[in-house]
Amino acid sequence: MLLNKRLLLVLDQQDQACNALQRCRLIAGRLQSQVTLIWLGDSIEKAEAAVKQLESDGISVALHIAARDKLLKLLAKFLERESFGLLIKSCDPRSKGFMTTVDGQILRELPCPVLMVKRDLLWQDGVVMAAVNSLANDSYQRRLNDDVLKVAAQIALATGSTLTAAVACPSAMMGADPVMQSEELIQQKAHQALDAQLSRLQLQPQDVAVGEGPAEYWIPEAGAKQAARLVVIGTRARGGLKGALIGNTAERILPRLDCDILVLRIGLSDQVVPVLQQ
Amino acid sequence: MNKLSRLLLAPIKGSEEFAERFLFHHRLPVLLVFAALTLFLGWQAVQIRPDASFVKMIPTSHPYVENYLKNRDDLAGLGNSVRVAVAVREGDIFTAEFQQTLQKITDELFFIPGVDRAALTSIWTPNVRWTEVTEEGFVGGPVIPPDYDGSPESLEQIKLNILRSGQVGRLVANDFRSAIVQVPLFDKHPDTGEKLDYQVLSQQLETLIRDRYQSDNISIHITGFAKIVGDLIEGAAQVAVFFAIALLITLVLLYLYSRSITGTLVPLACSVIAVIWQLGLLKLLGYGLDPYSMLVPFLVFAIAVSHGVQIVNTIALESARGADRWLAARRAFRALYIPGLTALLSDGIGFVTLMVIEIRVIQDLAIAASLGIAVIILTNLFLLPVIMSLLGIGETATRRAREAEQKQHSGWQLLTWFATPSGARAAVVVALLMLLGGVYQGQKLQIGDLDSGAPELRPDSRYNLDNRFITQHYSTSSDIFVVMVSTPKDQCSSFATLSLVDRFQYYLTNIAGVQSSVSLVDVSKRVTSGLNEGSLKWRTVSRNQLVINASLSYVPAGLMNPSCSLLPVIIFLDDHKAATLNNLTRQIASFAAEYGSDRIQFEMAAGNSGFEAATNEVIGTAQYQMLAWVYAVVGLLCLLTFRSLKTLVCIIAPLALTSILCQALMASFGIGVKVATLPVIALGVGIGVDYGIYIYSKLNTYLVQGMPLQEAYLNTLKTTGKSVAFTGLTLAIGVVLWVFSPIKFQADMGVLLTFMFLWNMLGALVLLPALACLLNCGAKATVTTPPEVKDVVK
Amino acid sequence: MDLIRSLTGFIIVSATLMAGAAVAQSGVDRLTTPALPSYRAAQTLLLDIAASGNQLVAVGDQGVVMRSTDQGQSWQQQLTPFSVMLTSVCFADAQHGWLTGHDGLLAATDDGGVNWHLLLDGNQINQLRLQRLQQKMAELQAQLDVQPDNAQLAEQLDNVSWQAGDAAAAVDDGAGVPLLDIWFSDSQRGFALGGYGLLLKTEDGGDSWAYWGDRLDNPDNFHLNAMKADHRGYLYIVGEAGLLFRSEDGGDHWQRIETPYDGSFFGITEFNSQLYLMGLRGHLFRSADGLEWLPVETGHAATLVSAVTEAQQLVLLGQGGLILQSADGQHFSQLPSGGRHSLSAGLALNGGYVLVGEGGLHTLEAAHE
Repeated sequence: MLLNKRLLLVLDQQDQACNALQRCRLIAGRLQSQVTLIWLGDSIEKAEAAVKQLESDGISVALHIAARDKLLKLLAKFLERESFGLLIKSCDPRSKGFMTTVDGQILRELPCPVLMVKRDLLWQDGVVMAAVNSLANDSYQRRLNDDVLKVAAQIALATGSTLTAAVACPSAMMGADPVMQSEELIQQKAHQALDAQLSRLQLQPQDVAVGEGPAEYWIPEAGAKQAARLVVIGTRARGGLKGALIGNTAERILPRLDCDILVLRIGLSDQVVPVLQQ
Repeated sequence: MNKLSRLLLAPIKGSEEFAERFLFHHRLPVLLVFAALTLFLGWQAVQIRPDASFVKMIPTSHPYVENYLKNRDDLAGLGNSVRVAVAVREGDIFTAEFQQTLQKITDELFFIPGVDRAALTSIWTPNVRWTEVTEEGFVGGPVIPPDYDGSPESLEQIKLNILRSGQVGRLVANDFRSAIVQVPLFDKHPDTGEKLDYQVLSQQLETLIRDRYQSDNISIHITGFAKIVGDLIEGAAQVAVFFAIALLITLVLLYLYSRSITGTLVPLACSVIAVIWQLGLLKLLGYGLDPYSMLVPFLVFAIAVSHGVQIVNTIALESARGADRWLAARRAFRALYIPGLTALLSDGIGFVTLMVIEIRVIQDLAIAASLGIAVIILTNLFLLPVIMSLLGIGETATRRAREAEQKQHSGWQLLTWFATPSGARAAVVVALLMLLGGVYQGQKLQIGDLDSGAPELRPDSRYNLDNRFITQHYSTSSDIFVVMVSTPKDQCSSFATLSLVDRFQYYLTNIAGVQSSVSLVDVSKRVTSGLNEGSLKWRTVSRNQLVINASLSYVPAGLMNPSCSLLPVIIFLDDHKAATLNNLTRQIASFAAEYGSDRIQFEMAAGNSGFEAATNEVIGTAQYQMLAWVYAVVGLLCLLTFRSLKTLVCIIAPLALTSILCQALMASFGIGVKVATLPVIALGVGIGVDYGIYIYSKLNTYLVQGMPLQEAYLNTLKTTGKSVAFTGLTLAIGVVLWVFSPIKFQADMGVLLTFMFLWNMLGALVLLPALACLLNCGAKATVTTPPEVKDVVK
Repeated sequence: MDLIRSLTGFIIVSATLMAGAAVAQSGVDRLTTPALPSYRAAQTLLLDIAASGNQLVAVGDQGVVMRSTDQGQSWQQQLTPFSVMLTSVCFADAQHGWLTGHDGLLAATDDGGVNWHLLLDGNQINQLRLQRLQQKMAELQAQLDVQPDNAQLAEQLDNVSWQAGDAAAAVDDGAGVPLLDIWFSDSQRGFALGGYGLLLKTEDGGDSWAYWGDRLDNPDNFHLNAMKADHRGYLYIVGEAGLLFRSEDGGDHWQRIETPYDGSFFGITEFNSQLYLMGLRGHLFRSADGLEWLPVETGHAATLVSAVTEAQQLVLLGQGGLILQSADGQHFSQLPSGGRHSLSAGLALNGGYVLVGEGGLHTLEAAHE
């Protein structure tokens, strides 16, 4: 994934903070990537200005102007044509009534990892937190967990940050399997699973935060406690009816975290290749 | 076993995640949908009408009723009728004013819709005649002569005619101070084909007859099934008032317990919404409210409240641990999902099994109750947490919960003695003693009515006073049992048939509880006597068929059918107590076995007492069938959920004790098992199983952590136990006030329900841990690395 | 509606005519089916009561026989092997008694009313009648053979032939004839009478009976209701349509007496050497010689059926619970009977009366001082 040095950047004209732009500059600059910029808005000048900023860092940029409501289609088209390593955009948690948020749609539809940018803090020398669901049973979920950990480790390594992990355990359920009836037991079990996973991946995060969920509550709590600057999470990317009914936890975590979030998608593990082996 | 339980329960356990996410990710849409549904169903619910039907009360596949339905067309007016007695307070009925009143009343009744006009009988109807024997033979005429003019001579003539008509004791009282109009009713309105609306009919009887004609000198007395139902429906308003009182009490006590406004109002509101939905759905499905199913809404309310209180309590505990409103609600939802759903599913499916009883009223009740339970799942398990996640439980409640958790409740400490071996043994011994006492006393439980009149109403209710008036002053009671004698075509009046029926009627006089009987034989005997100058020595069935035929040249309606293959014997009973009916049916069966043949068969039964006998028989077996099914379903679900026979015993045993004691209570209070009271015990099981499941689930969560039983139990008491105790007490207090209801049926239910709420609570709090202790329940869970992880590690 | 119903009833019921006779096989035969014991037997319709020695016996519907040995304080039902309506009972002495009933039942007891055994039934009576009439026909035929021009004989033969035909038909129809009264002058000689002009005589205490009805001038076969003897030993039979017969020779020859009434007479009794004849609609007649009858006004219109004669009082019993009492046989006053049940017979007992009727046994205390 990251080997693929093609980045897709979405900038919204209305977004004043331009965090996404700065982040993109940093990443693209590090990875020497090419950037395809999709500018949401009608002001060509501002778009050009953004392009100029990027090009000034030696990044080649391809510009496309698009209307907001055509964004998803466009992105899908691009990703169909060529594979991108990363999509960077500003986190936009606004929702239109009961419809899925734009971010949500992106996470569900697009096959590439997405970086939701919220802050302009440098990741350098900070904390990168990997949020995993270590109690999951199916192989897809476990592979996703692995990816999240691996990518988080990669980024931590690359940015000189500390790697931490967070696991949100489900609350106790009366009447369920005996283990699931007690919070302590659940957390014990989660700890064990995580330890096993970490030892398998040969990773040693500095801190492991195992707590009682739901994930929408715990991950932001852990993130805040650890003062993470980047949180890497996975998403099941449920779309369609399932997505409408159940939704995706990742999408609901997005608004509650106030740092950058890198969302990996389930099922694409084969595209995740350890990039920097140093 | 494990595989099976996993298979059957996987949907329950697996659905939790789906439900939780769906509800909490879409809180606003969910609320809107619920609100819309509530409005719609509420609009339906207010349109619900009482729906009582005579046929619904009788077991239609019982042989008695089948025989009746087979011959229904030939049995005029024996199904359903009302008697209106018009009485004078001073003097006798032979005054012009009285006769005029009686005439007007007869006419009024004639025009009430639903009345079988052809069979309407009073001395003012032309079908009531007098006969007399003269030297020339018979003479006769209508009791009220065509030249009646209200003069003293006319009145004297009427008196004479009445004496000659044989109606004294039937349509005219023995003391000549009142007269009856017999009003047979159709089950369906003849013009519209719609079911007869008993409430409307009852009101018409009141306004058109009683209110209009009752005066200083004239009193009106009305009896009949239709009137009972009408009075019950009228009383529904009072029943509703008592429900409302119970609701208010619950409201107040719940507030005092939780000190949280939202924690009080929201569960109550959700419970009320459950009732609204239930009524609305019933209306949508085309059902009405049966006076005997009046309690189901309250039951739904009670069960909903106990679940609601559990959830609110758990939310309070979560809040005490620092969760915000959304988090607390969500965690509580997850925590209580399985026990709540299991309890409600076992209730719901348990009630559905009541459908095996072949009495429509009970089947309708089964549907109403199951619907209600299903709705509770939606309103109290789903809607309630969502609402609480938006409103929160309040500061006071959170603070109290925190303080409570930190304190050591000495009160609860006392109860934990039952979780120790010595205490457990004591509790179980006491329980066994009570079981024995209950079984012993419960043997006295009677099926059917124990008193005369209408036991659903108070002995001093207007209906029962009217009934007593009629029984005291007339020779024909309103308790009628009809035996249908069937013969080959044209044989109903043969000598063989009539002489056998004559013997049968004499046989009947020997049976305790039989007042008198009437059949074609009586007509033949009297007319034969009349044809012979009225000589008593001729009042028998002539062996000469020609004489018989002559004696039957005029037969009043209802004593034979047109093809002369059916001869009803109408038996008037002193009362319709179960013992009387049992004895009667047994004796009749014995006569039928001895004397019946291919050609002459004695079939039971029609008439209101006939149906009651059939119903009593069905109820006798149904009683145990019903309990068996309910316990089977509840037991199975518990077994599958907890996967342990010992757990099953812990939960079911207290319930069984409650059921047995409830029967003993019914026997002690003189409450007979009837259609109305039959389901009560089964419903009680539904109420009680909730407590047991919640307590046991909570207890188990501590046991899996390795806590010793006593400590685990203490913790359980401080949390779930508190809710159970509160719910049991509150509902009991709310219901105990029903003993003051003017509807005796509701008062009886009040007693039974109070007992069941309290005893179920005690059973869950005391007996359950005692049994758990003695049976060494408690799975200790060890945290083993899940096999999948182990594989991967390798 | 009324008319249609009665017409329908009539039509349907007439159709039973066809199948009527043959069906007697199923069901029970009252002549041979024992009476049902009942705890309410004392309230069954009872029709006659007789005393003998210190016992009282009452008989009535459903084959019920009630017996009391303690002056009417308590009664026990004596079970009988038949269940027809029993219409009358009489005793010659404390042991021997007879009763009659419908379907031609005639039974006797040797032990004071505890056990009863059948003497005759309707079929046998029909046979007796047929035989007698055929015998008479033969006699008349023989006489006619001798005097072929005797028109009176021919007419008599015609009548008897017709009666014989009727009797033959009755034999086919079955035991349909009811016996209504029984009278014994002593333990050997007695008469039984009943519907359709039936009269039987026995000389041997009931073991054998002869048909005697042809000795009465009763061409229409009217019912014979009651029989009684007066102080001279004359026998009287009263019946339907104003019939009154008297025999001065102990029942061999009977004379028909004109009475001023066409309706049924149900009873005849003697009081203070006067005979009293009572019947339908309250008609009461008195005669000193049994030939001339004068009406007596009682002021009541209910049918009078029977009398209880004591030394000082004449008591008449009637329908609707009517009890009339007179000390002089001219003026009657009504006794309250305590009910509306029609009465059928009664006995004087300890100053009061034991009555039987529609409501069964009814004791009337002596309250008329």
